[in-house]
Order: sequence, then structure tokens, then C-alpha cells
Amino acid sequence: MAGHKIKLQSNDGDIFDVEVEIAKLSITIKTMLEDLSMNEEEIIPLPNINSAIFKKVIQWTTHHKDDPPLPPEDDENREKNTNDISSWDQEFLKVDQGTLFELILAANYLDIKGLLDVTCTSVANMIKGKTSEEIRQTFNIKNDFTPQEEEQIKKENEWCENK
Amino acid sequence: MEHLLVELNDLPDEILLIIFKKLDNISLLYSLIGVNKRLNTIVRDPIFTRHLKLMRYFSNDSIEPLPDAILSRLCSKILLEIRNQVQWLDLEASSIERILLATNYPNLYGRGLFNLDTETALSLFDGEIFPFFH
Repeated sequence: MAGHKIKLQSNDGDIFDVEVEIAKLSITIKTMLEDLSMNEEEIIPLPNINSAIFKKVIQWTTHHKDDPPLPPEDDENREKNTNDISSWDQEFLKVDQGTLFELILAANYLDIKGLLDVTCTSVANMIKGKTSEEIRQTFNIKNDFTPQEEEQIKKENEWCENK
Repeated sequence: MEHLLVELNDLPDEILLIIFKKLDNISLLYSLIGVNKRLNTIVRDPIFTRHLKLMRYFSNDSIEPLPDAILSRLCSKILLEIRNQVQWLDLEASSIERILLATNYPNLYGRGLFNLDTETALSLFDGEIFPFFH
């Protein structure tokens, strides 16, 4: 029923009234409502999502509620233009890295394919063209190879070069 | 409760795979080989290393070699590290020799050769590059 709302609770206790049709863009919530026969009057807990991230998820799903479903991913033809993010989504994704990664985790948990796709595309675009050192700096990743391990890799490479 | 910032390296493998599949294999290997042990293991998976297109395609159907900085890193490090996983290489004329002489590829069973004129092809098949074709 259009306009009918359900209550969803983030892990920090906030309760959100969300239109059923928008909430059902999450396959996880859709399954809870339809297959597990959860009562629409009940408060549905979302133990993996805080309120700040859930607000962003609702903002995205509200804007994209009338989108057609995404085509299935084809592994053989996956090399495609990774810059194809709409201007609205680009604006939506102007967030710090922590928020972006939390949005990815939320989209994965809630099973919202479109949101997962666009957030992952955004990270892929951040990776593209960077050297490994730039990747470490951009994403705060520690090089955990020991000097001995790096030396070992170098030796193996030299060995196969000379072979 | 203290809120801990989520970082790229905190994401589970299944999500990193979704992200990495959005990049072409060469971009992925160029940026992530050797970053840390975990990413190094993930990007060496056969889905990213068994078929490599070592060239650039443009929208007008033209084919160009990879930029020299990428080609240099591929030939001096990346291809050497993943040589056992490589099964197929798509190569364009100007970089064929450099790539095939960078290392040996024990499991390579095929190549796609692009922009190759007859003269270059004959010199390649007659020379050191494809000795097992004799």
C-alpha cells in the first residue's frame, strides 16, 4: 500500500519510519516482511547499521526508488567504464572514506544491489591509476611484507628471469 | 561508545572482490600487487591473472600500447610474480617482445596478437620469441 510505513531501528537506538515500498528496496528487509511474516507493526532491528549511515541509505533509496533493476553481472564482460556514476550519486558520495566503506557494508548487509554497485564503483575509481605506494597512502594501508619476504620475492623473480 | 573508522583493508574479501572486478586486470595488478599481503593474495587470484589484455582499446577501435610507466612495472615486477597463473595474453605489436621476454610463462597456452603486420609476425615466429612454434 503506497505511503504505508514500517519502523526500523538502527544499532544506536534511533527508530525510523520508512515507507514500505522504499524499505523493500532492501532485499534483507523485504525478506523479513514477506518470507518471515514479520508484522509491519513490529520494530525491525538493524543491528549492523548506525543511524548516520541508515539516514544516508534512506536518502539513496528514496531517490532511486523508481530505478529499473540492475542487469546481472557478467564475469566475462566485466571490464567496463568505471566512471559511469550519475551526477546525483557523485554528489551523494562526497563523503569521507569511513562513511563510504560503512555505506558499502550497509548496502551489502541490507542487500541493496544498486547502492552496493555505485559505492564499490566509487572505490574502484579511487584505486584506478594509483601506484602501490599511493594506494597505501590513500587508504592508510601498512606494508606488512618483512624486508626478508621482499628479498625472497625479488630473488624468486631474478631466478625466473635468468631461467 | 568509541566509533572506529572503517578502512578499505577492513572490508571482507567478498566485498573487495566486487570492487576489484570493476577494474580491468591490468589496472588492478598495477595498483595493488605488493601493497600488503592480503591484497597481494586476492589480486593474484586466477580471475584477475589468467587472461591479461596488455594494451589499450579506444572507442574508435584503435589499439595502443600501455603507457610506459605501467609497462615497465609489469615487465620488471608484476608479470614475474604472476607468471605461473598467466594462461592467455593479448598483445599488441610494439610491446610483444618486451612482454614475452620479461619472464617465462609456464602455463601460457595462447596469445591474441593485435596490430601485427606480416613482416613483424614472420620475424617473431622465426626468432627467439616463439621458439616452441618450430
